[in-house]
Amino acid sequence: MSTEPSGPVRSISRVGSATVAELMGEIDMRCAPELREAMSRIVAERPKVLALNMGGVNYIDSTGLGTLVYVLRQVGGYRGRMALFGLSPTVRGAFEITKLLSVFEIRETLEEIAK
Amino acid sequence: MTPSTRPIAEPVAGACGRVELNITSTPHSLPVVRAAVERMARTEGFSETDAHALTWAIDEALSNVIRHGYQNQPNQPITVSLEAVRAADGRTGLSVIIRDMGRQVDLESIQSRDLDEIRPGGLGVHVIRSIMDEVEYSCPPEGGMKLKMLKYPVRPSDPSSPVPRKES
Repeated sequence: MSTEPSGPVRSISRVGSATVAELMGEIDMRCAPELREAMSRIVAERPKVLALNMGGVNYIDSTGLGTLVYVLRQVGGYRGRMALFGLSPTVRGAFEITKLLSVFEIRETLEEIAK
Repeated sequence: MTPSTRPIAEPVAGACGRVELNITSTPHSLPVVRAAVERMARTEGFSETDAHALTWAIDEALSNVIRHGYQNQPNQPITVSLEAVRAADGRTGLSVIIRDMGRQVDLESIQSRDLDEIRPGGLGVHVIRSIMDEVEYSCPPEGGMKLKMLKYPVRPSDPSSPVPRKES
């Protein structure tokens, strides 16, 4: 199964033990299916640590948030670890208003995840 | 909220006047609406944070129309009307009316879900009700749904704001 970047997933890399997926742009109901598909391909390889770089995301709606919840459950299903980093204040606010800040592991930098 | 307790908000001659966007029920319309709403809110004096929050709420409402009202059927009509209003206490806000001709739903069924249940989906109504000051769904006799919403900018000292302020 290919893990080429596609849609809102702009790059996939390995940093230490972590697989890092860089998300970009506006994540809404328009591109959420693409995100789900791309993330499913990554999760199929069962990375021990999946780090999502949210630094390039300037908007996320509830469909996008729901997609991330779906990915989190997939990763949790095989006892992997998923963490997000680089959230802008606006995107962080979206997690806060939907009470998802405590559901996800959210860090400032990749170094805090992949150390 | 009953009509007798609803704060009175009258249209005012805002910088933009009344803006009406006629779109179709495709998700590709959403970024266009977001750009227009954010721009209008900023022009009417909303802070960047408030403008973003308003934009998000409208975006969620439109997503719900596409997904539930039209069940993802494209090319169906949706009208978004925006107008500056002034409340009885002098605050200036934005009135939003979203009108569609999709499936009518039981008004009692439009509710936020329990957020302690961690699962995808069902967050849109929670977002809308958290951000907007007034939210009123109705089923007009001509068919479809009508959603009236009002948003006033959050005062900097208001601790009840659901939307975090941006760091300066």
